Amino acid sequence: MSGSAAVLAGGHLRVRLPQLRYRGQRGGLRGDVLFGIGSGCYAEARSLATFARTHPQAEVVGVDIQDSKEGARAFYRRFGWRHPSIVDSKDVIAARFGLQGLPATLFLDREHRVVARILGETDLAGFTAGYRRALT
Amino acid sequence: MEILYFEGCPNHHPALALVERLSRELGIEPELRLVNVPDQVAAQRMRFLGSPTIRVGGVDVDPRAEERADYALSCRVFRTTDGIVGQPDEQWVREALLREAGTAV
Repeated sequence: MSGSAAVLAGGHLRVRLPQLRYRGQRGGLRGDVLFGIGSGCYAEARSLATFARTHPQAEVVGVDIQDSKEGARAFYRRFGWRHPSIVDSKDVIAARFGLQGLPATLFLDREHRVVARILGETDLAGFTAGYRRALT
Repeated sequence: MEILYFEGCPNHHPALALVERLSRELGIEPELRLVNVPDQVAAQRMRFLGSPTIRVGGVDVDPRAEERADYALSCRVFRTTDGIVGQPDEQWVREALLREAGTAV
């Protein structure tokens, strides 16, 4: 894959994510990044790692879709992923977000409303643009 | 009939195999074209909903495709009776092939 996907408006979808009660969760979230992981998204993994490193206040959460736990762990090891992740083996999160493709990045504000989304591979500029939208 | 994909997509070969198998089963020989979508600009221009996209007679086999406009260079997922999967429902492809074969007669 090549090229960067556009940041799309998120609409008014609001979601509750009880699965986000992960270890180390902070209160008063300023902005979340929900990252859907699937085959073919290796190219943007490094950009996301750079984004996470330069935006420590952002909550980055991985969602494993169409993947095994072993496959996801191998991916995390390869890219030094330190963020929490959710195994969506029953496609609950994918269905709730109306996922249409992978990779997908959803940007949630502190109320857990989807304020922007990127479908397809993106880059550091895409992650940053979506995150900025989550902050406004 | 077209299968749109991008280079590196893990799902377009199985999509091609699905179309070929169903065509054999139905005894029809559709004119099949593989279309590589190289970048995001082309994805927009070709109204590409992700790889694989199967169109028969110019129409996406996914009955819900018309509702969408989020064209992107992505791995497409489909909501089928088996859940969210990387291939379109076999029945959608079968019906599209039959429809097209009926039109051609």
